[in-house]
This record gives sequence, C-alpha cells and structure tokens, in this order.
Amino acid sequence: MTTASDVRPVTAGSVLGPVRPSGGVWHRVVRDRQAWVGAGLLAGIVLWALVGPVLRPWDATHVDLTAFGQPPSARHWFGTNDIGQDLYQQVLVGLRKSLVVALVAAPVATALAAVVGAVAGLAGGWVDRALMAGVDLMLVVPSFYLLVLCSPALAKAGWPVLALVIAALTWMIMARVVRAQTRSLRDRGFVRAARFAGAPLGWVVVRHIWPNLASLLVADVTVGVGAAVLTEATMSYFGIGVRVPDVSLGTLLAAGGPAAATRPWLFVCPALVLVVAVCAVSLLGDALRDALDTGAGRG
Amino acid sequence: MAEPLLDVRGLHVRFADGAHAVRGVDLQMAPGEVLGLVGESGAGKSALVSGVVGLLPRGATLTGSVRLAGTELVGLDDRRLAALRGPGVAMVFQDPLSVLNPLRRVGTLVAEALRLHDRTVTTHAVQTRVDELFTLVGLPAGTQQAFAHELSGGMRQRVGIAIAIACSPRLLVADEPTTALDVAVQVQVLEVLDTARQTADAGLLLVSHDLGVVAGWADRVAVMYAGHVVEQAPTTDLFAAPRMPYTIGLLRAVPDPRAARRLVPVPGEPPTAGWSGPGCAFAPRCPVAQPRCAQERPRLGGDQQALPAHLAACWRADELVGGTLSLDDVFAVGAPRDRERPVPGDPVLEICDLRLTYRLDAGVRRRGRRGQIVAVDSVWLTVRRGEIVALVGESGAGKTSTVERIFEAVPALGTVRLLGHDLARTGRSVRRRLRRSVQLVAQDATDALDPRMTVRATVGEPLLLARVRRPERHRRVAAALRTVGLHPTVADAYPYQLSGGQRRRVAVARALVTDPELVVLDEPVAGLDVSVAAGLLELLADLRDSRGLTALVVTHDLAVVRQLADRVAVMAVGRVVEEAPTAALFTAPAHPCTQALLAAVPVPDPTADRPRAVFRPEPEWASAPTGPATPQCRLAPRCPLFAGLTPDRQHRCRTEVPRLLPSTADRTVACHWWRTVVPSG
Repeated sequence: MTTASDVRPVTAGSVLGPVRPSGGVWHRVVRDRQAWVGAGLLAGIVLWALVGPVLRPWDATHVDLTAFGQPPSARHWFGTNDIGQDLYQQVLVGLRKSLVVALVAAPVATALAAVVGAVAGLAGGWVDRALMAGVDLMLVVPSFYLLVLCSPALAKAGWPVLALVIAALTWMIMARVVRAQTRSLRDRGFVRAARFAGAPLGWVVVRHIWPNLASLLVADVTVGVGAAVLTEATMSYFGIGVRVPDVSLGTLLAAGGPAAATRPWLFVCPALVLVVAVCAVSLLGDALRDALDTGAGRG
Repeated sequence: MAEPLLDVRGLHVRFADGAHAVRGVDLQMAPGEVLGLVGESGAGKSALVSGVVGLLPRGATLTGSVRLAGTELVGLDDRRLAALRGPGVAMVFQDPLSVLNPLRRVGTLVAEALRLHDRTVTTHAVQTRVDELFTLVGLPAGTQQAFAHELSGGMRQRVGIAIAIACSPRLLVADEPTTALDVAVQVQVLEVLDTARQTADAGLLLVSHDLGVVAGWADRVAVMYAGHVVEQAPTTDLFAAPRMPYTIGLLRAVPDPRAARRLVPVPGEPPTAGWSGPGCAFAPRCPVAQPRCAQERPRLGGDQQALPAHLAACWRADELVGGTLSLDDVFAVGAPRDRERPVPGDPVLEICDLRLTYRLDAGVRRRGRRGQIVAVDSVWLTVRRGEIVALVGESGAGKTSTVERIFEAVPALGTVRLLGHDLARTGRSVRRRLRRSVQLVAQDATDALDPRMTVRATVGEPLLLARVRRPERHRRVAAALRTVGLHPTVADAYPYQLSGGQRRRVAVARALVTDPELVVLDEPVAGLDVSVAAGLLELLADLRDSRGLTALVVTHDLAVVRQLADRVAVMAVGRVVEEAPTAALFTAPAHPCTQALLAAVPVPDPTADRPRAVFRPEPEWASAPTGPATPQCRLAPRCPLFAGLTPDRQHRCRTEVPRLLPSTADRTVACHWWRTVVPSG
C-alpha cells in the first residue's frame, strides 16, 4: 500500500464541504457575555477582599466600646456584633479565608472524583471494585466524627489542611456519578475506537472521558465552592476549622444565624457576600460549560 | 378509478418549530391498491403519513384535505378520528417494541384493539378472532401468552400487523415496517403484511427508503422530495422510464445485488426543512436544470388520459418522455470498472477455528450455572493482501463477535493471525504495532466520533498514538481527508456540524490515515440515504482500485457485497457455512443458507422475481442458552433442504456437524447434502 501523502485525491461522489469552522473553547468563552460578567464579579470580590479593609479605620478584632450590637450605620457599614466588633471588617477577613479555602477545596474534590470515577469506570474488574469499595467505605464511616476526634491535631494546621479535609469529605458522591457516566461512555464508539487503536487507559480518560464529562465536572466545581463554604462553616461550628479569634464567612454565618430574627445584619451581611461570591463562580462556570459543549443541544 | 379509497389534496404539514415538512401533496389510492412512498430522510414521508392517520405531534398544523372513502379527516376531533382508526385506517409502525405495551401479553393487546372499536363483542368472539389473527400472521398460538420483549423483532412486527388488521381496516399504513429487520425476516414480514392486506381487502400505503422493497411489493410508487411528490407512476413504469431527474438519480444510486455496477451519487444535499424558494426544490442539485427551474415550481403533471397516470413534477418531463433528453443526459453512468480479481497476496489476516462462548451467570458465585451462549462456533477466514472479503449473515450470526476478536485481547479458542503473528502469543509491543496495521470503521459513525474533538483531532488520533510529530500529522490528516473527498475546512469542524455521509467519510479517513494493512468495515452504508450510500460505495471501490485497499467488509446487505467484495464468506449460527468468489456465490449459491439469503434480497427492479422466504421463520437459538453442544447441524430445524431429505440422511444432519470442506477449486461449503437437489415447495 502506498502512503497517504502521495495518493491522488479520490473524488468519488461530491467533494464535501466546506464547513464553517468554529473557534476553540477559549474563543467561545471570550465571546460569551456571561463569562465576562462572572469573571468581572469574581475579580471585583477578590479585589474588595484584599483592599476593602483600608477603607475603614477599624480592624477585625477592634472592639468599639460605644457600639454593641448596633445596626449598619455610617460609622459601622455592616453594623457591629454583640461585643462591638466591626462586621464589615470581619466579613472581609472571613471572605478572604472562605474564598481561599473553597476555591482550593472544590476543584480538589472534583479532581479526585474525576480521577477515581473515570479510572474505576473505564478499567472495570477488580480495579473498579476496589476503588468503589473505598468510596463506599468513606461514605458509610461517620468521617465527621472521626474528624472531631482528631480536631486537636487539625486545629493547629493552617487553611491548606482545612481545604484538603473538606475536599476529602465531599468527593465521594461525585466519584460515583463520574463512574456511572464513564461506564456508559465506555461502550460508545469513540472510546472503543481509541482502545482498539491501542490507546492506554490514561489517554482515554484525558482525551475522551473528561472532555465529554466537562460540563458535569464544571458544574460540580461551581456547586462545590458554595458547598465548601458551608462545610467549612459546619466544621468551624464544631471547632475543627477556623477558630476564634480568626473568622470565616462560615463562622460569621454560624454566629449570626441564631440572631437573624432580632439583629438581621449579623446574618444578612455575610450571607449576601457569600451569595454574590457563589453567583460569580457559577456564572463563570456556566459560561465555561457552554463553551465546552460542542454538539449537544446545538446544530 | 371509481371513488378513491384515499384522496389527499393540497396537504400541508407544518411543525411547531417552523419546519414545513409537507408542501402541498396530492395523492390518490384505489381500494385494495399498494402504493409505495419513497424518498430520502427529511423528504416528508413520515410527516405525510402521520398527517393522514392523524398522529401529528402537538403544535403541528395540517391544512388541505384528506378523504378516506369519502370522509374528510382534516379537522375531525380526536374522538371521531379515534373511531375511524381501526375500521378505517390502521398503522404498522417501524419499531413495534416501542408500540407494544411491555406489561401486557401480546394476545391481550390484540384483543384490546378489537374491544376498543366494538364494546359489545363477547369474550368468546374476541378469542376466536385473536386466534384467527395469530394464525393469519403466522404466529403459533402459544405466543399469545408472551410479552413483547420475549419475542424477536420479526415476531413483534407480526403482532403489530395483527393489531393493525384486527378491525379489518380499509387502509393500512406501514411506516418503514421492516427497516429494523434482517433481509430474511423482512421478506417474511412483508409477505405477512401482503396476506393480511388481501384478507382484509385493504389498501396499503407502504413507506420505505428501500427501493428494492417498493419494487417488489408496490403497485404504484410516489417519490417524495423536500415535501413534494415529484413523481408518481405504476411501479414498472417508474423503474423503466422515470421522468423526473431526482427519481433518475435515486434509481442510478441504488446498488443492485444481481451485478456490480457504477453508482451515480446525486450531488449536493437536500434542502433543509425551513427551505423556501419559488422554484423546483431539486433545481440546485439537478444536472439538467434550466433558468426556469429556479424561478417557477413545476406542478405534478403528465398524461392524464392513461390510467393509472404517470405524473412527474419537472419542466423537462416532456423532453424525457419524447426522448430528446435521455436518462444518461441527466445522470450519466460511468464506464464499468474493468477489474480483474487481484492475484492473492500474502495472508494479512488468518482466523483459524475461532470459537467464543458467553457464560450466563446465576449470581456472582455460580458462574455459568445458567448455561452458555455460543456466539462464535468455528470460524475460518483468510484475507489476503489486495482483496476485499465480505463476511455476511443475518444478525446474531456472530459476525461482530468474530471481528471484535481481531481488536480485543479477549480469551477465545482458536487463533487469530495478523501478518503471520499469532495475536495470543505475541508480546505487548508487537501486538501494539500489529494493532496499528488494522483499522476499524465502526457501523455507527455518529457514535464513533468523539463529539468533543475536531475532525482533525479524531482523524489524527491514531497518528498521535503512533507518536507521529505534529506537522507530519497535520499533513497526513489533510491527505486522508482529501482521499475520502472531504473539503480541507472539515478538519476544524466538530461532528455535530457534519452530515451523516460526511461523518462516515471522516471515520473512513481515520482508518486510512495510518496506512493500515487491513481495514475492517462494519456495515459501511447501514442507515445512510441512497445517494449518500452510493457516494461512499463508489469511494470504497475507488480506493480498492487505486490503492489496492485490503478490507474485511462485515454486512448483512448483499447489494453492498456485490458492489465491493472479491470474495464472500457466509456466516450462520456462529459458523462460516460457505466461502466463494463473489460472482460464483451469487450465480450459484451452494449452501441452503446462502440460497435462502440470496432469495430474500430485495432487487430494485419490479420485473425481477419478488424476494421469497425460503428459510423457516425465526432463529430460536439466538437468545436461548444451550447446554453442552451435541454434535449436529444447528441449522437443521430451519433448513428447507433438511425438510426434504430422507430420514437416514436427516440422521446425519442431527448427529454430525458439517465441516467446511473444499467443494470446487475456489469454494468451500459446510453442508452434508448441498449437492442433493430437493424439489422446491
């Protein structure tokens, strides 16, 4: 047989095409207005979290003896808490902590789920059984209470450990979802074709499985960011995560929650900031998901 | 025609999304007539019949007139329309499984159809009629107790027919009734449909994309294109002297199982459903279009005196009738390929006594307790360099299982040798290299292309796996796309931007890009429209002639085999039962199974013999687990030859597995008594 290069074009039938080319993923993200809104909002929040404190004279731990539990005013924009601390400064400190924890925890959890789920689903056999047994074990063991037992050790660790712990607590369900999706992809023609062509497992996962699950994974990250903040709040409430005098959005919500009816600013201010932050991530995620979606629902 | 059974006038169907699927159709059917409705996908066939039987989806609008035996159907409310269904018009669907309620026994479903239209009927009368209907469609009485999923595709369609004719309708509408079925089963179902039609003295509107089916069964044919009926004529007239360029193109694009011939793919693609324009919808693709064609739409016309009339919607129909414009002026058929059988080279693929069984487990710890399914039971096959070998057989014969053994390292008995290397005994690196020398073109191209990858990435993947560098890779991808007749801009497209035919070509390009020693094509044109399939078959024939393509074509479509293959191996019940050069096999099939397969093939020529069902209905072995195989010919229960043998000869079929033995110089047959001539009937 001759090589492909020196063969004359065979024009049986019509020469088909041309086809209007579509740009790459990046091109489509850039053209998406929603992506710009999301990215702008997120950038604004991050910027605010960094430079916001210099706008006010107080710092987060300063106690204003003239204002205990005051509603928002010109002096204290977000009001003060029971012991006279400025809520504006506390929210900013909490926002920094929460953002950094959540933005690490959510992608790590999704990545873990994507790797374990895809490998288990694609490999099948004993690999699948072993990995899924591990996942099930983590689901049934009351890991939260194990954490409470270990809390003295965790308390001394910094936020990176906290982020990893949150990721370790939340990846299992997604791993099962990814595995189920992978198993249905495994029988699709293009996955079989790649395997017939001798592609190793990792190749198939990276080039075929993940791209086809991209919208699922992106959605999981965006949901995960919001969930991670809440998980961190729960953990902080039990004294594992962020500890007094340090604050996070989670601890502020936990502290402000009971007072939501009587002194609403204690709850509403951190909650609004959290909602806006999660929305920004979601908008960006949605745009990214749409851009990754070549084919489904179009054409 | 006295009063027509069905009289459709100026019918329009518009769907909620704005698609104008049927654009002014006039159609008449005489009582008891079989009208074939043909056209490619998107022509509006299904929309038309849905409009006629009143099954359009919500939001679709129907305007014009549909009169069934004098009763106007357009504008009737659902209740009165429902009353007309059954005794008036009944429908046979393409996929009976989705129509039959899975929770009711099929006998009950037939009885239900009877009761719906006559509430007063007694239980006894219903049962008598159900028995009658089951006998009529050739189902044993025991199947009344079965659920739909327990029946094979052909049997389900028989139940569908029984339900349709339960109330003796005046008009039967069958929408692609056999598209999902094998040829052998297709013939049986069409025979049943025809018998049922005659018994009920009903008219039959037979929708099909298969010109062979229409040629064999229809009295008259209507051809649809872009929502219009463009030609309508008695079947023999239409096939002998078409008067509309689209029909001419269609007829010249169909492969003929009787002889290989040059196919003429109709250039371009049909207009989209939203298309609008003043002229003839076919004009942009028509080789003999005139300026007038693009400005003014021709009406369906012709010699009204001759009955039944031959009508065509073309400005140049008169020239075609008069002979000033010949069929070859419209779509010229290329010179026949003068191709000698290649001198067989070295064997590229050798399959020796391949066997494969699947275990049916009864729980994790009781492996194989429920028996086993023998998918492949002794397959011998050799493909030599430069030849195209076809592996044919009905579904369930083990074709796909055989082919998968070439690509997967799944334990099986027997040996598969690629380029002289036994796959089971080679090391990993050699096996990887060998794998690259074989490429598979999967049946479903839509499924075989990753929706997230551009055509360039998909076609280039085998090269990337072979660590070919980027510039070289792009050059070879471009060359491969050019080879399969695709425009270079296709490289940057995603699969959803491509048509079905383009996707199939991309799949072929991917297979060719590594310059493989052997290409395996699984049902290369299944599911493609006639003209698209013609383009692909011509492409493959070109590749064969110009590049010496070595290929194994797996298919159940014998017309494709005739068109492409040098040699044919026929599979049945997991065994190769006959192997011979293509021409020899088609002219003188030796094995009863081959004979049955050939007899059942529809021929796109109404003057040819109508396909016949020779084999007994329904392979029961397909789903039934078997215990340890007793040595016997597993085809015997269905074999027409076996039925006519003397008892002592039958004994041999029951106790000895026929081996694949050379019968003549280049033919092997696995049958004890193939030389025995049994009087047919």
